[in-house]
Amino acid sequence: MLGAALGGILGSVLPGASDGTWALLGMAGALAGVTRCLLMLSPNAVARYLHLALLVVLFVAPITQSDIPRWTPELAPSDPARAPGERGVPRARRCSAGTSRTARHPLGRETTCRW
Amino acid sequence: VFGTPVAAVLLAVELLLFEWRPRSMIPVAVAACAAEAVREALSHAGLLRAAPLFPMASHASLPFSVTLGAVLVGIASGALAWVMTRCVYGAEDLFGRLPLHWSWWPAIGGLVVGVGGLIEPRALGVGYSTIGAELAGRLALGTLVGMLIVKLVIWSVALGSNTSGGILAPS
Repeated sequence: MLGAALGGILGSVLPGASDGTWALLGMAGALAGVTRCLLMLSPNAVARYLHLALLVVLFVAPITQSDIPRWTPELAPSDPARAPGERGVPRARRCSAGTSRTARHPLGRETTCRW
Repeated sequence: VFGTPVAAVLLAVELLLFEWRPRSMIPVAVAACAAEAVREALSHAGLLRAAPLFPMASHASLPFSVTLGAVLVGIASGALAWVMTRCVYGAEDLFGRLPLHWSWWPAIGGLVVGVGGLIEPRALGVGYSTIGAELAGRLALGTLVGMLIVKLVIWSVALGSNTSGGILAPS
């Protein structure tokens, strides 16, 4: 919803396509950004909207997230300890807001991210 | 729900199974194929809606200018995703600093969601109809701006308060 709203807003000033098309691109970009993966190609989009523009959005959006460490199981054993005064999940074990992962830490702790 | 088996396979492997290996890919692909077959059968029997959840009209070939605009949209949506992620963790940290027992957090989050709903009712709920309206280009610019702000706030506060929530469909 947020990505489609952003795409719709940008579509009011960008030429060449309908507001709905820009909303679709925005939605795809936001989903690709928060999940940092390129998986949001629905068959409907592939069949009717597979266009360089969609691929560009799907590649550009995740790149902007490179400063946020991506959570992977391999990252867990080498996680730094919680920083002094830090609350919540240690940043090194945080994943983006769009991911959903539950993995058991070697020490028995569990990390869950929602989507 | 979405009738997108290919995306479902990639999503499950990427976000849940962590690895791009046949041992992960094949079982999920088989499950997705089976689910799609059942979905087709149910839709033919009239038990499910056969139409896509978000139907979109076909259009003519897009000009190259759209590709240039897509770079801007990609950067902007990536920035939005960054803001969304930061807002969720910021809200979590904010709740952690509250001098209240954690059992009160969902109530506070619910209160914020309710107030946001009074400001922009379209931001409430699963949001399928709102997303459909967005993709159909039926919403005015002011509505989109208001919804973007309100939804961002109530979504991040709701998740930060440890209430259940999501991002793929509801947001």
